Amino acid sequence: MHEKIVELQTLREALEKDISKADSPDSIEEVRVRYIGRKGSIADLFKQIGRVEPQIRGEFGKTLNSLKQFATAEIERKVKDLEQQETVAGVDPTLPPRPVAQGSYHPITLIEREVKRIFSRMGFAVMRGPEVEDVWHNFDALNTPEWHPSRDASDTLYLADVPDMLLRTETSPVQIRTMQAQKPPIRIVAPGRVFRNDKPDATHSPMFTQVEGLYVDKGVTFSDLKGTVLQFYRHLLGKNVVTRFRPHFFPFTEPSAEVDVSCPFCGGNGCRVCKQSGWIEVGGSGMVDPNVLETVGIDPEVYTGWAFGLGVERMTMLLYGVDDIRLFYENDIRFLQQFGGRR
Amino acid sequence: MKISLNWLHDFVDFDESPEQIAEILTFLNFECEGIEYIKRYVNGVRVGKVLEAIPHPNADKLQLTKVDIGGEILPIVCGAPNCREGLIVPVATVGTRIGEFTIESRKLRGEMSQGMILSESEMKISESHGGILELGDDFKVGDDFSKAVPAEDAVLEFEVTVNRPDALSHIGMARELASHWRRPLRLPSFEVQETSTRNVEDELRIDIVAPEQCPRYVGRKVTGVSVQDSPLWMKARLSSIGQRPISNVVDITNYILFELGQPLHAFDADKVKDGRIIVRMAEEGEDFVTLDDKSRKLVSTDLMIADPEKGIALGGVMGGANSEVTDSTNDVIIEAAYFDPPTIRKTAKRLALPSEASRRFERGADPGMQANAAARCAELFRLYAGAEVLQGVVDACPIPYQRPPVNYRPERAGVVLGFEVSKSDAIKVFESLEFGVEEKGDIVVVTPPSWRHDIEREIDLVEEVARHVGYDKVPTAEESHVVLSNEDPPLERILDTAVDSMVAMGFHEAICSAMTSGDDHEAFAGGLKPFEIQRSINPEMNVYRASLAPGLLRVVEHNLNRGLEDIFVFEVGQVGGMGWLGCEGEQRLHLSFAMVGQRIPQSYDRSSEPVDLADVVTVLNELARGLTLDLPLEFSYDSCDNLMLGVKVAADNDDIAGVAGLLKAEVGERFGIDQPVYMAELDLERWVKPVAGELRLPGNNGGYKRFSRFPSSTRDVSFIVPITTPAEEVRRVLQNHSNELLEDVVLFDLYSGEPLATGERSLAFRLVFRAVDRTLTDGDIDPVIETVISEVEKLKGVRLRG
Repeated sequence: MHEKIVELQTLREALEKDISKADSPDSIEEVRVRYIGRKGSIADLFKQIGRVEPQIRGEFGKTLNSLKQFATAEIERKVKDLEQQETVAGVDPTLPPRPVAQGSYHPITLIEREVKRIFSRMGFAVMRGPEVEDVWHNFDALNTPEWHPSRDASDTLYLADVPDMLLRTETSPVQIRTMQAQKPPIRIVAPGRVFRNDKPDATHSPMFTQVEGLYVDKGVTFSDLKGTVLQFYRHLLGKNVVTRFRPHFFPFTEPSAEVDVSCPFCGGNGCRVCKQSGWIEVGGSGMVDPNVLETVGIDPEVYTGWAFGLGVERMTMLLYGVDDIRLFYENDIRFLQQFGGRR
Repeated sequence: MKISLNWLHDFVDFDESPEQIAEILTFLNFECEGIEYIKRYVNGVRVGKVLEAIPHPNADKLQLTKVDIGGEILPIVCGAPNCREGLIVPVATVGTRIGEFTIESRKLRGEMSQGMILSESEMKISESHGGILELGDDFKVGDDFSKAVPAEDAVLEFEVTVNRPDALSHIGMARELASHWRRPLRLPSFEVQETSTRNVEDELRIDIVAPEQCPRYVGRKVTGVSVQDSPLWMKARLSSIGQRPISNVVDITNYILFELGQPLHAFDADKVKDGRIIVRMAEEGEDFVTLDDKSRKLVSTDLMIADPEKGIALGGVMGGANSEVTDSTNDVIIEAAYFDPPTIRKTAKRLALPSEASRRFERGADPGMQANAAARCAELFRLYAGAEVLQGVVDACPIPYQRPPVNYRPERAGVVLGFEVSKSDAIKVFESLEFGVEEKGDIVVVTPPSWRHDIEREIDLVEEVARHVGYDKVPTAEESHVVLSNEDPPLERILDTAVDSMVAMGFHEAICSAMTSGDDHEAFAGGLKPFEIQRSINPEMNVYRASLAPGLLRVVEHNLNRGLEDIFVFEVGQVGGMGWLGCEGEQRLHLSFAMVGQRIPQSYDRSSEPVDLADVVTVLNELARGLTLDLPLEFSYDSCDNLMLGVKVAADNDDIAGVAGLLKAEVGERFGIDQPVYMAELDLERWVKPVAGELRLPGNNGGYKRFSRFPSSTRDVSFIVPITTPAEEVRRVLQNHSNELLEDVVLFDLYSGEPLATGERSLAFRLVFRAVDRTLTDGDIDPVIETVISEVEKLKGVRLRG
């Protein structure tokens, strides 16, 4: 290789070294002046082109040109790097995060949505109904006997000035309203607030949240109920939980069952949460009573159905370890903001 | 319902543990709520006879006794006042454990004592504090006392659902177990030795004037009753299930109630005029003194058990003081009746007199049990109260009970349960429960027994089959047929979106009680008419809310009181009642929010900024954007309901969908809040007007609008305007008098102060122009700018800023 070309290569190497050594605006400016300034070494070389032997002049000129372009771009890049370095230099990355106005969902909403989401995947629609209900939807249509204690004013809150109106005691009236409005197949979940005449304490609230599911169609069986409820709780509480069904009495269903879920915290071995029993009672269920179907004009000989319910507060308390139900309605921001995370 | 396992052994054989029994019955519908293990201190206790009892020389209240325990005579110091020569007593010998301590041979005040004479409470037989236990002649000196009273028992407490009154007895639970195990059920003996020569028909007459309310009334009579303590085994059993033994007459009727489920009543026969019992309705306003010596005013729906002169018992609820059995009672009339459940329920509820008896009558006693229960009662009076039983029984039964048969189609179990139960298996279940069974072709005709009021329909039989086959035998369906049957109603998505938007804007979601205080409603706005609740839990919860605002203001107050400063809260919830946002009694879904404190909180490198009205507008705007709504706002500087500086959110036409603004300070003060509260309440349904089935696009309901690829041109114009001229008014003029090239009008600067005059401010707007098909030139824009300036200058007191 011609010595003139080698000279250019040597210069390029020296340039690269100088650029990488430069560590301040001043030193890179010095590099810039020295190489590509008007009296810099590259300008000098351009002046020498005429004196280079003709056979390599072309190559020399080309190489020198690209060296100049290279020097200009590299120095410019380094200048920007050093500028940014300076900006960042004064920054303390350990400063606390700035406060962000972070909102939060109420924990009851979070669990209610979780329930809605799971049922939605199973083809259930969400239905809601009025919190102020009439006696017919809340009791009569649900096959509640005239004498049933739940009708007493000691259990149920009635309106003072409007006859036969009450604060609904469960979300089941939504099932009645839905079955009145449409024909099977019906698959709904009905979340909502319900009311009981209970003195508030750590485990009782006169208002709480329920979700009830209803499925009415031809060929719906108790076996389906067991399957759906199991799948639901496996999605809510983890794939290893199991359910069991205990006979019970509810006016609305027959056969009726209480549902227990194996404790998701100890795997059913017994712990503080399940009071050492390994099981947690989570709600009622059963096959919709033929009287109820008849009341809403669905032939119980053709259609069968099941219904089940769960208390959202109870589930939320269980899952988050909330030990006083009153916290849910006190709305202390120190409580609420604990539920501001995203999933 | 408490069940003693010792007692249960009378009726069915088993060696299953208490835990197993609890489990079995729990899975037969009767949830076991607890097991109590009872231990009585009777092991090592002997029957003894007090040979002598003399005063202790060194202690007033002690006696020195010599007690024969069969072949051995022990010196025992005894402190019981009833200790006396000749008594047969239980004696704990040296080495016997009584509770926490062991009997030792020791000196008491200088006198040797080698044992202890026991009371019932010391042995844990009952709570009785009547001194040492005096045993009858039927105890043999030297015998092991534990043969008379078992040392151990387990008592299980069950929840009995309201449809199964038949299970409110030991027989009832034994029947369930016998059926489950397919073991025989042993009923107690209903034979009675009628030892008296007198005939009950000569001495007792029963007239039922109210047959609907009392379909059956059985009477027996015994004579020569001696009222004393019940036998020990009976006391032990009653104590086990939490019943305090009182006297043999009371205990025997009680015992039969818990054994058979049939409530009984005992009248002092001498106090029943002419031996005539009349079952009638009470007179309206009739006064009656019940057993508890309280005078009660009766109404015509109360059932009265009377004699020709007076009422003697409040049927099925409580006896009368005037016919009560006392120590001097000689003859007793036994009542075993079947009363109409609603009648008893009404009376017991009205008088707030729930009792073990009324609990059974109001759910339905066994209408086939009265004669047996009366016979058993008379026999126990004979055995344990020294009575003689009169010949015969008076059984007044104007309406004999009839339980219609129910047809059962064996395939029906499969249809309902998803699990086939064969006809023969179903029949086995029915027979084990003592149901009458008759096969008619493919159908099984089932006649329920008298005690099963709950079996009226085929589905009831399906449930019996499911219950006794076991819910766990029904397979858990692997997959259910999935059909998309319903669509969420449109309001559901609106609800979720509204909550999402508010949370995204930094608000905390609150859920307040929908039962709230009427006073708070009044304090918030006089026109609100929430629903009043009849028997409210407390004064803070005496109405069903007509607005979310009062509850939210309480949340603000709560948090301020606890030292929190920046409070951004909202709630989405139902309201009812009348008087606000056009609410006329129907249920509405509202959203309300409140902002207090700093919009931007103070931090190490930023200063805080307090919330102001612009934040309210911003939140409303963002909410509208989230819900894909236009937001027509009307601004009002006059009072807008309870807001000092208000914004009305218009729906279509003249409808108001919500109000927002700065809460009047006086209203805040009523809630104990001394800081500015910016808040809003919106009726989401009225605002969004969702229509089921209508296409509503998520994110952008209006659809995509093509945007221009060409650059924009901007012009800034600023005006000096009187401070009373709203910026929005100027902005609207600019917008309305531009042409289609105008893309946006933005207020980018707001200034008041020097050199402007007081009462003036400057508003600077940036107008953005853009065409879809070309780059704009000055020639396109200048004429528009000239027009809008001259239009704005037509506004009163407005001029272009030079």
